[in-house]
Amino acid sequence: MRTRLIGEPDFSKALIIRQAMGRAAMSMMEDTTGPRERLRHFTDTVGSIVGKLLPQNGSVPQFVGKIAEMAISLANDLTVEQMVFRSSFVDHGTDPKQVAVDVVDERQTGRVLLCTFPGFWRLVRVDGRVQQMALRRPSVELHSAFE
Amino acid sequence: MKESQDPSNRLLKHHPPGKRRGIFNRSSKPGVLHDDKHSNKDRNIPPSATPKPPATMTLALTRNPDDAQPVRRSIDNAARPQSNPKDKREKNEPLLSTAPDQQRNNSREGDQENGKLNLFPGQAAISHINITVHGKTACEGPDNAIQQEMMVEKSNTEELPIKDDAVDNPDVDPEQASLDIGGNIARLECELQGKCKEVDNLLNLNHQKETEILELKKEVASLGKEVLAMHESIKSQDNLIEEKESQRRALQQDLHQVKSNSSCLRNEMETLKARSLTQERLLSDFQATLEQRDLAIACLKSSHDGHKTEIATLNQRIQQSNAKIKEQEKDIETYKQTFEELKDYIVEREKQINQLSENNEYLSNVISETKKPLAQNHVDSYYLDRIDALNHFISSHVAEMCKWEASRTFRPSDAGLKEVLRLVGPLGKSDVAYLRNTFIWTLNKDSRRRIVALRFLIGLCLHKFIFEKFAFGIETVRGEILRQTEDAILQIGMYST
Repeated sequence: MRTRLIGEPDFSKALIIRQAMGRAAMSMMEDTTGPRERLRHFTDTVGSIVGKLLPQNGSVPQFVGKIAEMAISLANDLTVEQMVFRSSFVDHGTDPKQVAVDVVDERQTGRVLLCTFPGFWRLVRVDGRVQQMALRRPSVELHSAFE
Repeated sequence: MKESQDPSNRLLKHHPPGKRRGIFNRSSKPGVLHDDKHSNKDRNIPPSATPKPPATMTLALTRNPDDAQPVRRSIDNAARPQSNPKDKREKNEPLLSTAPDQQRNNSREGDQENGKLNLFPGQAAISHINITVHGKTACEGPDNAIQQEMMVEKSNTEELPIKDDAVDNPDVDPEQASLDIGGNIARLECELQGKCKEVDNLLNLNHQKETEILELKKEVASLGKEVLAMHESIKSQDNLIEEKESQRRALQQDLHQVKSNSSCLRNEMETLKARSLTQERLLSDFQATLEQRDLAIACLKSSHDGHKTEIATLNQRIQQSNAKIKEQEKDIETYKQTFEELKDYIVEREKQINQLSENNEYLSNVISETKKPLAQNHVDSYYLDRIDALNHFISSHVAEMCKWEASRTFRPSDAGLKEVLRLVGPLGKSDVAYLRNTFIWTLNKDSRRRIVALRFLIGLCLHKFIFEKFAFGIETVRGEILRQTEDAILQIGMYST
């Protein structure tokens, strides 16, 4: 039995502290070039990937920009939220029974072939322990989809 | 003596000297004259060896033709080579030597003077034939066979004297006596012819012997030269023999010295044998000690081998320890470098702490200034909708782009695929490896594979670049510190009631 020190915050207060840290970080990055550089890096990488796998089309940059806008907006909101979120990505070959995944086609079987979208988890305190609650499970394709 | 009364003259007249020298056949009847050629053929005498006239001739005629045979035989025996070498030497002497021309002329003169047939009228036979060569008679010499034969003939003639009855007996009819004498003369002529023939043969033999004697003289001269040479060689051989003798003497002296030396050597050998015996004893002792030492050396070798193995193992350990020391030295160097880096890091962290304290003060001021309360902004569904909207947007647009007409015929190049792999390489491990090895090379099979690949790549980039960080756009180190701080605070708050 761990003795609790005087002045130690409880979990709600820890979340408050964490929210304050997020807000402070976001306010600190307002005057920096970090977000713009990261955004450009992201759009360049994803744009080049899509451009290599698809024919040249003017809608690709818009598509990538839209993805970046939606994702960054979501990330910023999650950063300043009084909750703790975690993102996860399932590796190839993982057993889908051992991890929580979202298989769109329920007829697919086998191990994880590729993860098509990351999962989002929320850290909650259950019975004195921090657990990850699935906000959205990662989307995966199993091996049987392409056999 | 008158010619008519001298029967010898009559005979000579009837047979001139040239004819008289003709050879009568021995076997022929008396009074039959034969040619010289025929006689030579019968006797196998070469034509060149024509008989020469005799030097001096005295014939002793016998009454009986058979009595002349001993004379001929004696002459033949005299001319015949004797088996005794002594007689041979005597035969080589000028018994019947060829006389020079002067002697030959003298003989002819002698023939006129002395060499007449002593046909005494009224005698029935010639008592003796005397043959003189070079003033000597064939009867000279005690060993001469001819002389012996002649003496035999003489004795025969003496034993059978022919008595002239007509002379002794006055009652004999002179006519009858003359007839007898005539018959005797004829018979004597025949005998004389045979004797002449024999004399010619003897002369031929004499000539042959003379030629042989000349050849023998030449041979004797050559033999004399050879004898001289032999004498010289004998002298030289004598000298050599003397030298050899002197050498032999010297060798004998040497032999004596060698014998004396050998005696000394024998003594030395005995002493050496004694020494060798003592040395053999010493050698046996030495061998025993050597065997003991060999055993000791073998023990030392075994121990030496053990030491060698130990040394080898120790060397290996030393090498290993040296390698460990080197590695540890390298580690120490790296530790030193990391220590220096940590020092710098601590300094930087102190600076960061100072800055964070300043920022903390600034944040506290901001918090105090902002009147927005620290509370939950949105519920979970809000974020879930946004997440789903993002996922839907991505999946729908990817599917839409892959269904374009141009996308159906589009085939990504290998260089483009490699560039894609290079971009996402640092972002993942197993999934990127699977993509690299297998999946990305099968995108042209159907559009569904391409959709899945695109969604995977976009989701991976979203996770790594945006959602994994503490805040989007924050520096990496600062984001990690904030993440660690967040974890620490949550860990503390986990135990709160």
